[in-house]
Order: sequence, then structure tokens, then C-alpha cells
Amino acid sequence: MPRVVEYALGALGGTHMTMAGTDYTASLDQYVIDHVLGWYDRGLLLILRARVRKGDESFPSVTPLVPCADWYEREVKESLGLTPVGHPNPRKLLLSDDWPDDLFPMRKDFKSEAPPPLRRDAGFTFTAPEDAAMFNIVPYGPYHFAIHEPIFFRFHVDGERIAGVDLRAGFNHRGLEKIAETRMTYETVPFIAERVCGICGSVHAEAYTQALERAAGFEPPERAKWIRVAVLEMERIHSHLLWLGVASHMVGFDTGLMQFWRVRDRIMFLAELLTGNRKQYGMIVPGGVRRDIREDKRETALREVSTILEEYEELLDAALRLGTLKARLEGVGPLTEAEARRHSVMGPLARASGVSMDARRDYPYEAYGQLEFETPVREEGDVLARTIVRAYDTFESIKLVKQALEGLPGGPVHAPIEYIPPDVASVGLVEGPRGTDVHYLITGGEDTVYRWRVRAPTYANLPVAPIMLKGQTLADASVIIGSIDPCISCAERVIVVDEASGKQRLVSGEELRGWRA
Amino acid sequence: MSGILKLLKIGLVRGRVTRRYPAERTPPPEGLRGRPVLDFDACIGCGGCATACPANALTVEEAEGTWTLRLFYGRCLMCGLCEEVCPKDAIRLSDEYELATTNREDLEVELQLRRVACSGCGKYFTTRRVLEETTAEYSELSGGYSDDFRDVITLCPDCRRRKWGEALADAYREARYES
Repeated sequence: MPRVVEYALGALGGTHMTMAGTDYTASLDQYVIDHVLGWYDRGLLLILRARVRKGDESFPSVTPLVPCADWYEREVKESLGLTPVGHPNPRKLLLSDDWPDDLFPMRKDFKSEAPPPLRRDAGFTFTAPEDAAMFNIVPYGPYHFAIHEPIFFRFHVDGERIAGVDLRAGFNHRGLEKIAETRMTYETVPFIAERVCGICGSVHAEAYTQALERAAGFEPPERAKWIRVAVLEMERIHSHLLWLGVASHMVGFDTGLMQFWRVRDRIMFLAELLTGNRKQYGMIVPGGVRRDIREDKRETALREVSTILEEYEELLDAALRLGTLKARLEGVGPLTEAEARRHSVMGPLARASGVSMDARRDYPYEAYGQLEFETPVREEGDVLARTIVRAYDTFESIKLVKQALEGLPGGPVHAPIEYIPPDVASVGLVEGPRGTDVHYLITGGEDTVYRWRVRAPTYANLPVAPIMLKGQTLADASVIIGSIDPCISCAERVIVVDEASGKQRLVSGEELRGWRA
Repeated sequence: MSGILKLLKIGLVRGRVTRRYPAERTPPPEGLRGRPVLDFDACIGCGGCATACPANALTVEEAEGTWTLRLFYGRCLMCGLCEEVCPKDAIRLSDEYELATTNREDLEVELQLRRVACSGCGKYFTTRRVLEETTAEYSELSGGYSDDFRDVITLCPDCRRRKWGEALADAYREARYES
């Protein structure tokens, strides 16, 4: 397997999309590990499956040859108990430090009703550069001050320069995949999928729905497809404007924060008008969408979109003329095209490093094939390029919302899915604001999913943060991490754990439960 | 024009857009998915909403003589699936969006209905309102209410199965005897 994946990604120029481990021990006496690889330029997808026999819970690690498999294999290790032999860095990723070593939540025989007995002696070992003694340690987190997401970075600094970086994620598990497999039906999963992320919720609902509809061989009604595009693009505008505001804030341009968010509030109003909520639209469900767009609402929305375009254009023009803003972003946090490809990064991060990839264009879904839009790509690979890619992407989204609303075909917005066959593996690909969101789904019998693997773009993008941070100044760390537009809660979703680890001291889940009472 | 001047102009032209909430409120738009409200008179206690609820905000507890539906707003996603499945429009999303409170109990609603016992084995099996509802529907469809129907509908599913089974067996024996 390692050589095959390396060949496919290296010599054949593929992109690593996701990897999922599934427990089949009850029926087939084995586990399976599926790698999903993609070729954006050809619109191809390839699923490579490896079997791991029960009793021999190990497999050859892909990571030494393909670095982007790092997180996936660590996750398979802690959630399924399959050891990647030869993995250079087999530390915990998603589960808390005090989670018992012999308890694997994604195994089918694991019941999540009661909290497990937690280890009291556990800790997390951070990596350090070889000459660590020469540097000072600066803890950064476990809560990012501007993006308000829980992640912990540990910097080794030489004066202002960052010499070594390590990160610990996993503070935000909610066990959504397990919940979906054990408690939910096909119909209710989209609502949990939407809660994977507070910003790109519809992207997850769409990716799940797409995977499910593909498994069932179902085509949603035409009108539903167009409404889905409108909803997804509205969400992208809101997400990019949110990011532009937060990025401004991170470099001390607070006027930008206020003004970008002023424009953003218009799109929130629009979402509320069309879906009934500012966020968590609850629109995309298997079979179509839940709400139709009434004629008078459609007209109001189109007027609103023109206003948004006008106000956004005026503001972006002013912001991009600011020399200080440019100076804070230019040349900061570089990522070369080779590194971007090697790590299979996604979305604006890849597109700012000269990798032209866009699932809307390359794997057309819903009505995207019938709509006109462009994919902005920059070559520079710095934070400024990422800013510009997102800024221009916003124009494309405004254009798309307009097209989707103007060309809305008639007809029903929902049709029932008659039959969903069991044991079908399927992939849903959606270009979210942060990159391609990949959902890997295996259908089960009795109206429930057998395996649902959510791979949010941040999961692919965050591992390159140390590469971008190395050699940069501490003052830029915030905006470099921010330039991924990381969504930590998206990247972490596997098991319910209450744990927070600070600088040195660990606060156990039991203590936290005590505080709550 | 330099960026700073342009920004200044934007600030002056667009002005202040924030409102003095909570003194100044924005009216909720039509179709807002806000706090779900229960209609205590309309609910018959079928429990469909609790089955549909993805977040377990709605739960049902069945005790001897009572059927209790609990709605905890702290878990509610405002998805509206309960509203979609309810056959009696007894649960509806309102346009209330202010749920913040310092008291957890403010977020809990409880609805209790009486359950009825099986006329055969005495086990409690459904709410009185479901029974009344079914009876009314049957009477409307069949144009009247018969004693046979009452005998069957007041039985719990287990007793009903046994009763039908016995009736079938009797009919079979009789048919064989006659031939």
C-alpha cells in the first residue's frame, strides 16, 4: 500500500483526499482501510482498499513516503486500534491524553453510553528541535485569540524568530461520526453534519447528502440543485467576509474588521430571509431542499445581492490600497507549490500557491456545471496571495448566487429517495470556503450509515502550519495560522471527551465535570 | 484616492449600522426558525417528534399511568423536524430567538398525558388521546362505531395479536369441522 499511494500521488500527480478505517470484524473478521485519491485535472476519483486481518491489528504506514497520511494514520490508531508500523510520529491526535490506551471508540463493539475510566498518569510529549536548549519556549493556545478555536501550538523561538513548532489538536471532539453510526437515521444525519462546523455547515450537509444520493443512484429535482448552489455560495460569501474581517483584526486593521463584517451582515440577513436562520440553514437534506424560495423573497434577495456587490467592491478597493496592510501580509508564511502538492493541501491555501484546484469546476455537482464562474489562482504562496484568492473568490460567489437565483428553474424542491442499498461505499466532494470537504460514506442496513468519515479541509491544511511558521516572526504567527482559515471543530469530530490541557498541567475530565455541577 | 481616505469616506457615508439592542430590536423575519412551542391541547402523545429529533431535545418517558414529553431548549437545534412530523400541528417553531437565561429550568417544558390500560391484560399501552383520535377517525371512515371495534382498540398490541390469532384459529377449526 505505501508504494502504491506514493506512486499515485508522486508519479501520477494525484491528490490525497481522505482515508478511513472501518471495522468489519463482526461480519468479515477484518478491518478495512480506504484511501481516497483524486485527480482534479481529470475529475477522477480512486478508492484504494487495504484489509487488515482481525488478530493482527497493524498495517504498514504510508506516512514515511506520503507525509499527508500522518494525521489519518494517527486517527486510525487511536480510534480503531490498528498500529501503523513505521509511523514516525505515532502520538495521540484527537483523543485526550487521559483516554485509556486499550479503548477504541470507532470499533463497532464500543458503546458510548458511560464515560470510560480515565488514565490519571498521562501526558503529551511535544517534539523539540535538536538544539532545543538554545531556544525559549512560547506556548500559543490552547485557544487562538482571534479565530476563537481551540488548538495549542508550542513554539521554540530564537528572539523573534520561530525555530521549531509543534501542535496539539483534539480539544474539541464531540463524537459526531460515532453518534451518526449508532443513533441517527439517514434523514437526521444532515442536521448533525451541519453542526460539524459553525461556519461552513451547509458544506458538510451537502457533502453527506451528495455521498448518500450517489450511493442510492438518486438525482434530486432540478430546482433543488439550483437552490443548493445559492445556499452554498451564500455561505461562502459569509465565510470569506468573516475571514477578511478576522485577518484584518489579526494584523491590527480593526477598521477592516468592522467594515467587512458590516457587509457580511447583509448576507446573514439574506440567509435568514431565505432559510429561516442566519447560520445553520437546515436547507440541504437527502432528496432535495426543505424550503422553496418564494418569488417575492427571490426578488428581495436579488436586490440585496447587488447591494452586497457594490458595498464589497468599494470596501475591498480601499483595503487593498493600504500600504500597511500589504506590508503586513506580503512574503509572510510562505508555502511553495511543491510543498502544497506534497501535503495535498486544499482550497485557497493551495490556490494561493499556484495549485489550480476547485471541486466545483473539476468535479461538478448540483448545478455548477451549468453556471459560469472562475477560480482565482495566485503563484506567490504567501498570506497576501491567500487574502487575494479569497477576496476574488467572493466576487465569483456573488456572481454565482445571482445566477442561481436568476435562472432558478421551476418544479418541486424535494423528492423521496425510494431505496438506499446497503454496503455501498460512496464519496461526497464539496468545495467549501476552506477547500474541498470530503465525506466518505458506507451505507448500512436499517436506515443508518455504517461508516461516515468527515474530512474537513482544515484536516488536510493544518499539518502544513509548522512548515509555514518556521523561520517567521512570532508577531506573524497569528495571521499565518489564520491564513489557513482553520476550522478546528471541523477537523476534530470523533469522540466525546471533556478535557483541556494547558501549558504544563492537565485538567482531567472528572475535574471539569465537577466544575459544571 | 489613498486607501485611508477611501476608508474614511466609507465610514462617513455608510455611517453607524449597529443598533442599541436590547432597547432597539429588529423584528424577526417571516419564517424564522425560533423556539419550538408546544400546544398542550392539540398534542395526542404519539411521540413522533421525539423519534424525529436529531438532538434528543425531545424525549418521551412512559410510566404506569402517564406519558411525559420533555422538551429541553438547551439541546434544540431549531431544525424543525418535529414540526414536520407532527400530525396535529401541536409543535410549531415560533419566531422567538432570545433563549438566554441563568436558570436551566427556564429551558425545560414538560407535557403530561394520561395513558390507558389494556382491557385484556391491564398493561398501560397508549395515551387516552391517541385512542380517542383513532376511534374518531375510525368512526368517520366506517360511518359508525361498533362494539367489535371497541373490543379490539382497547386491547394492547400483544393482546390484540393474541385475539386475532385465536379468532383465526377458531375460524380454521370451524371450517375444518364443517367440511
